[in-house]
Amino acid sequence: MSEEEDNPLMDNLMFILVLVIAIVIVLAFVWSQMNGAARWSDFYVKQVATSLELSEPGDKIEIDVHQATKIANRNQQLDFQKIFSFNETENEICVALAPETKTCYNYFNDIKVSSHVIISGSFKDTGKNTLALEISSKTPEVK
Amino acid sequence: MKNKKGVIGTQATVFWFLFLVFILVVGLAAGTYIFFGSQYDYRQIDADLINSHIKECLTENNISLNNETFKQEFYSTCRLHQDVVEKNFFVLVELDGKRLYEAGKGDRTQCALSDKNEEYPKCQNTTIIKEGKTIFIETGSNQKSRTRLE
Repeated sequence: MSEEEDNPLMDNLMFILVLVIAIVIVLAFVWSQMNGAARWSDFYVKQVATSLELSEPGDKIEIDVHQATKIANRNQQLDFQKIFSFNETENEICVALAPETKTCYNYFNDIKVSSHVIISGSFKDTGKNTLALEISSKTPEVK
Repeated sequence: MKNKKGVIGTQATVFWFLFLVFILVVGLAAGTYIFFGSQYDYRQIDADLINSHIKECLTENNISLNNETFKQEFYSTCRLHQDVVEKNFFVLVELDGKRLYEAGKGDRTQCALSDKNEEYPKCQNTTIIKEGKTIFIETGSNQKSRTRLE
């Protein structure tokens, strides 16, 4: 019997290779699920809606949206100002972290988002991207 | 000819090996998909927030506790979006045990059974006393995020 035929590593090389490929595929799938646009859109739409439900006219809100911008960038959604959109009539917020798809949610508080802008690297001096919101009343204030 | 006996050798186990790898991959993928595929459940937070919002509004404002005018004053004074409340939330306001206003999807039975059935709204209730009258507020939310194509 030759030395090559006795080598157990060579005998099992294919098994090891298949196992490594399978593990890589599983890890890639888990990573894609963890960082998927759908999951993070759902998170951010509810996070921002909750902030709006707690707000009052005159409030200014800043939310860390760094992860959202990273995912949008990866998905070729390069205009960050289009990530968050607000429908004043239906009290609805939508988050689009991938082209041609958006996740929407309603908030009960009947306020108006008079301004929303994503500011690069401004969140509490951490260098993270911020969503800055200004809240106003839908009806003019009576003085 | 060499090695006449046991020619198959370790290769005989290849099918078992592939079967085990298949089970491993499918199991982990299914578990991951189930865990990350479901939405964040914000319904209880929504129900708590709207309940607190209404409680604060009724306590701080002089809304007429009258069947005919309550609805209009309730939405305008409490700054609530009527369509959103009626579509996604459940609101019940009782005055001294009698129904003053009810809106939205759901009822008290569904609220009581929400732990048993995931499709029922998540609810919150509170009681306040104002001018000697007991006001019971029950709120619920069954809102889920919606994905749309642009």
